[in-house]
Amino acid sequence: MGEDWLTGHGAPDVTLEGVNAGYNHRLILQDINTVLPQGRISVILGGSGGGKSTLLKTILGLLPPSSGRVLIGGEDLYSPEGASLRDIRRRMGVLFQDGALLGSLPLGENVALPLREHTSLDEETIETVVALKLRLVGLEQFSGYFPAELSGGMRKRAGLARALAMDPRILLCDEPTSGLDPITAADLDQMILELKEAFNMTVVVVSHDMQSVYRIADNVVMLNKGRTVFQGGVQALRESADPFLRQFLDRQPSKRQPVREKQ
Amino acid sequence: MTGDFERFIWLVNRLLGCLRHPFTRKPYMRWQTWRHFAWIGADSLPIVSVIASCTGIILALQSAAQLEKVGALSYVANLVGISIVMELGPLLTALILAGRAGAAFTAEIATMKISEEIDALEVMGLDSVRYLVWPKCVAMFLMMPLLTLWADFTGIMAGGLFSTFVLGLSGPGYYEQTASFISMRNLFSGLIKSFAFGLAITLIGCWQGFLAREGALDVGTRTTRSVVQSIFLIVLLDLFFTALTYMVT
Repeated sequence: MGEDWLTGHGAPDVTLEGVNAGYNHRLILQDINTVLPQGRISVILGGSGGGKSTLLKTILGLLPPSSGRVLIGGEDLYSPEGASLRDIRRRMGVLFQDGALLGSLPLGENVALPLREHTSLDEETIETVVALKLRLVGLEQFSGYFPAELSGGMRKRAGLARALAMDPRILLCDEPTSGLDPITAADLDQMILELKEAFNMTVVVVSHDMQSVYRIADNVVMLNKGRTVFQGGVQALRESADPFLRQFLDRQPSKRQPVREKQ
Repeated sequence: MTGDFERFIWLVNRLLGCLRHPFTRKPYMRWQTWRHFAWIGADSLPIVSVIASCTGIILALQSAAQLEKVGALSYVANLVGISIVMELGPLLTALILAGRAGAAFTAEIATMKISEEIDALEVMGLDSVRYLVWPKCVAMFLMMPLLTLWADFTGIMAGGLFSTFVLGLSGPGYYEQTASFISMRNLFSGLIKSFAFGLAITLIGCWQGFLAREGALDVGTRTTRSVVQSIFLIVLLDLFFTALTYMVT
């Protein structure tokens, strides 16, 4: 694949080889080996504290692994040689959990920010691109609004518009449907599906929303306590007999001391 | 604790990297720098003016009470002038800015850290230190000495007016005596302090912001720490520079 995807053609795959990562000597991810295929939607699934967000941060280049490699389209994300982290990041779009829009800038300026900083496009072209991206997520009339003036769902869609500003080859979404009502969540799922189809992007979604997973996933990686417990398609996930998977998918409570009335 | 110190080294290292290209044509950074010029400089003028004026009057009043006993009331101008220019002008301006700008730097960066805005900047390929800290450094570096000069001016003016109208000293005589007594060396000594104080406030404020981990409580904790540490460092730096001044002379 080489660096083709970096110059604008094709979508990269994401390969994790023996990745161990964590914070302050506390290991969260343990020996993660997986390939998130190009041009597909891969969902990283798992319970709270299972290591999903840590894995996403490692793929984003925000948390270097203590050992192992993260390869994006064959390029080692953390290697000092080859394509720089900054070059790779320019081809990545990220939708953070709450949009992570800069509160000091209106929506249009948030979307324009990467274009202004990384390209030499003239003002007119930037405005056209911003309008186009905002129209894509149905927010074209909110360009002048500040993030604090928008609802949670709108902020997420705005975050998606910003993530798409540089025409990324890989889109990463951190719990895109969390905190959204079912209709807005379904809209966002539909938007992610359409984006993948229209732009042939590699999409990585971190989620624990099973309805969303069933709707959008081509490939599922399930984590439990920082380890991979399942990799495969949605059908294989549904049919799995693994006790943890069954408990997770069937929404069964864990074994614990029942709440008793005070004696 | 080690991690916190590593973060400080990381911040200083990134700031030194900014020195390679100190000026930028990028609109967001230019806007950020102008915003901080206005906010640190112009918006701090009223509070700096009031505090410096009150300090000038207090100094004139206190020194007059003591000097009158030895028949040296005319030396009020010398005492007020030198105290303000070499010590209280830079120190009070720094303390005001530690509470005003330093706290705001921490709160802003900590909130952005918690809401993942800083992560968003980094994954967009934008250096968060260059975008958020460098404009504050530039603005503070220029505004701190200017505000100190303004504090010196208002403090001396207020002390002079008080001495003229309340203590009965000659107004022109007071200002002439101040001008002849204060040397450029005294003035520069105060200004060098103010540069160091500005750098300390920005570094501590931004560093504490980057250390925030989660929740509104941490924003409050970091902001408090930022102000306390800044004040502590300002006083230590003041002691160092004052000692240095007298050792050199």
